[in-house]
Amino acid sequence: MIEELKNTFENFNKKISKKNILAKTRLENFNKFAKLGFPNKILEDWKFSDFNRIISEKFKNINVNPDEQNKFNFNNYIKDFKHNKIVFQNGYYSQHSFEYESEDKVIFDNLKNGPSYKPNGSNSLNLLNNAFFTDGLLLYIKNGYKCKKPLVIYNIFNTNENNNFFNQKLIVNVEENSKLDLVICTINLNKVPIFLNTSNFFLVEKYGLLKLFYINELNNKDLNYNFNEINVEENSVFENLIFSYKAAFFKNDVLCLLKKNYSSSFINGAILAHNNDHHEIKTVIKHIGQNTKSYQKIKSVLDQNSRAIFQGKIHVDSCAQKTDGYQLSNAIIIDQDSEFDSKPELEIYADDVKCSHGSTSGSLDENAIYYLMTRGLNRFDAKKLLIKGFLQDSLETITSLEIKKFFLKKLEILLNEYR
Amino acid sequence: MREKELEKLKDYKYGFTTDIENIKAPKGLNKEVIQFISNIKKEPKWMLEWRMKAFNRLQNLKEPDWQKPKYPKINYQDLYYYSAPKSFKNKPKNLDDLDPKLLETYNKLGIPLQEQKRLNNIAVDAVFDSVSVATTFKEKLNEKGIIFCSISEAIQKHSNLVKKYLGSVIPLTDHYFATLNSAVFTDGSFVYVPKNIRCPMELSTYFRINASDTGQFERTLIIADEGSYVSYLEGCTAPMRDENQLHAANVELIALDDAEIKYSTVQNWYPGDKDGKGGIYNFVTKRGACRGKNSKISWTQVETGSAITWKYPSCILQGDNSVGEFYSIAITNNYQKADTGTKMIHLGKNTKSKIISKGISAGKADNTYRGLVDINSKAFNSRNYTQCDSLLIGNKCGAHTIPYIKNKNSSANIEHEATTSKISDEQLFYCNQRGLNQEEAVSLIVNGFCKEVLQQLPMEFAVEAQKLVGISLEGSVG
Repeated sequence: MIEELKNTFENFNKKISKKNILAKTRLENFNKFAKLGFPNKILEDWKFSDFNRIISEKFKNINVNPDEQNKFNFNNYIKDFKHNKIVFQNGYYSQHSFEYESEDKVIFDNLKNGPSYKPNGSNSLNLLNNAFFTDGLLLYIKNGYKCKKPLVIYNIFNTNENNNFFNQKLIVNVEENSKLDLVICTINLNKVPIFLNTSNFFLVEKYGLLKLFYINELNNKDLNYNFNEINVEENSVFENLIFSYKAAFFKNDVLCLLKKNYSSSFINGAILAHNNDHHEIKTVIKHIGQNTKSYQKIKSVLDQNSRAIFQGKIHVDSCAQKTDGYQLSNAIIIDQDSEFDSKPELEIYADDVKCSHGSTSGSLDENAIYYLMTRGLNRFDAKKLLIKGFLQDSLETITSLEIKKFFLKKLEILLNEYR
Repeated sequence: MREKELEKLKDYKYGFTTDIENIKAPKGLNKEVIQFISNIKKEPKWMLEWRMKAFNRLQNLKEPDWQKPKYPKINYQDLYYYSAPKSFKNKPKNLDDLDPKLLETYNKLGIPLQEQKRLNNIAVDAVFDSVSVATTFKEKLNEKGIIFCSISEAIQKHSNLVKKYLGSVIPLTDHYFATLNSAVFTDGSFVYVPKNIRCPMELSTYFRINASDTGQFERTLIIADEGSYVSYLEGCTAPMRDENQLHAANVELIALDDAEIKYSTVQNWYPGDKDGKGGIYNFVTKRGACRGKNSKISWTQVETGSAITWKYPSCILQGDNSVGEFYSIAITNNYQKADTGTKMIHLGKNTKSKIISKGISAGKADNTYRGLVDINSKAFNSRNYTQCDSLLIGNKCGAHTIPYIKNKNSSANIEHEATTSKISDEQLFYCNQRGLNQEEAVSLIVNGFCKEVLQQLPMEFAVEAQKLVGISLEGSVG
């Protein structure tokens, strides 16, 4: 597979790289990737998700189409709340509208010719992203500007070719004292399976606030790897909600660096895995500044031979005194064939800290089902209600009211679909 | 006066050496050495073949490197794999023939081997370097049909049992250190408790490394037949030496239907000096199999010594309704490193496991809990509860928790919780206010922190362990 990818890459690089420097770093990245290969379960970070096996099962070959395809009309997918938008179609920037913001405070550019990336690190999918990325977004929220409405980045795919592979980047800088609600909405309109590989970088400066939400409208043959690195500076806050459903493979990799004093991060997740899905949330929170705080709550529901994984790590540096770290993972397994694996990890080098984690997994409480049935619900509805309440627990942590409502509605729809 | 007493306690009081003439195997790890060990122990042919199989396998294995504590490469060719007091060439028949120096050593360690001197009801198998020195209370145990002897003796006298069970829990093809042990193990204990017998006394082994440049590779095999019960204790010390010494033991437990094994360890190998020089590398493989229905294996460990401790006493819960328990206290001070925890592998229905782990880290030490809970798809209604607490004393130490939890069965219930914190100033202040000094206060709080585990130890050991907890932390506060 790597051999085939090599040819694909050569054609791609010839076609797309107008600047030599870019072509060169792309090649460097690809060569390093070729050496490492797709991540497999020998790697600690991929212990529970053998991506090499998954991709070779699901994708016979990988296509990369560097042409900007015909633009098509697109109506807003989200109608529940007013928002600004930037639209990408098949991996390329197509349009934007900032109805509710002053244009000089929100600055963005695409990354079509954008900077070259050195082959750093050993995450082979990130290297692959560096080699293949076609477009992306560079976004600045200027000093002291608080966005009035959420910004939605639509990522729309309507490719007809099989096994398309997309690589994107997102670089967001929330400057001092500013605020942004960012919703990233990925939609695959056609039934053709795609593999989406994104690498995102966020910087939240002093007193800044970034809320990040993911909505995925993928099909159950799609693969998605999502890498996020977030740098959080003094007194700033990062909030993240990962709602993971559908998609054959969906791995959310969050690396959050609480670099300065009094920074905090809240990462919540809900996994609803069905139909042979393989979902993973992996978080690494590094407490480096003093008085930093992190909070994680991940809830998973598994059914129909699916698999879900939570790997969370709280790392406390020796200078990060007064850290407060909390991490909780709960899972409910509904059928006999599903599997839930978790690895909640604490790595602590400072003594004046308060860190704890908890992880549970089990089945639905029969007593609770019985209770609801005595009140007139049938067994199916009783189960549904319990699952809803269970997942709602983590969705309720969203602090933006409109977005919370949207997610709760989405949950309701999803549960109705899985009849 | 108090000061002086404290000073005395701070030193590793088991750090003396016994000046005794030794017989050693030639240095190095090769077929001749294995042959030598097998010959000197007068082992049957199948045992030698077994060792050779392990040795051949070892050639293809690599030392594992995933663990947190790193150590300089061990030169396996520069070690003695067999060392025994010279007077052992012809094994003494009874205690009167035993070298008085050896007796003195054990008296000094607080383990008199003369039965009449023992007030408490514990049978001891004392292992000195590579050989078993003496086993007490043999006759009394024999009356009940319990076999308690050194493993070398068992290989000769009870070869059927040994042949059947040796390597059945830790196979020859296991990881590097386990396979190394299988190739060169020298001595250890063997226990067989027959059907429906409750062992009337605690059985115990006392391990002592004396010679320098020696690795100690002991092997323990405990078999509890249907409906039996046995409680087994293990204690260890070593002299103070500047170089690191290797201790790679294998312990196998087998519990058949309705049997129960309780295995307690108080490990106090020499931990190295306060600059991290010397000390024992304690790389031990301990595994128990609950083969039968309603069987139970319970591990209790107090780990205070060793430069590097690296062990995961595990339970394979094969039988339906079987129970595995793991209680652990790991205390690291100065430059000590501990990477310890357990594996609970649930295979049978209605199996239960409980893990309580307390880690205490002081000085510049690193303490890691690493555990696995694996629920197989056939393990219906199984249950696991895990609690790992870590306590940090000082800002240069580390405490880590790395649990792996795999659940393949929807009817299983798994709970895991872990906390890390330091001793709060309020607690210390409260104790100080009532007249305890800083160190006493810390010792008191730590003992309280460990109480859940200390309770699991047999009475005689609990008192000692409690003292040990206090001593290990001396000098870490203030």
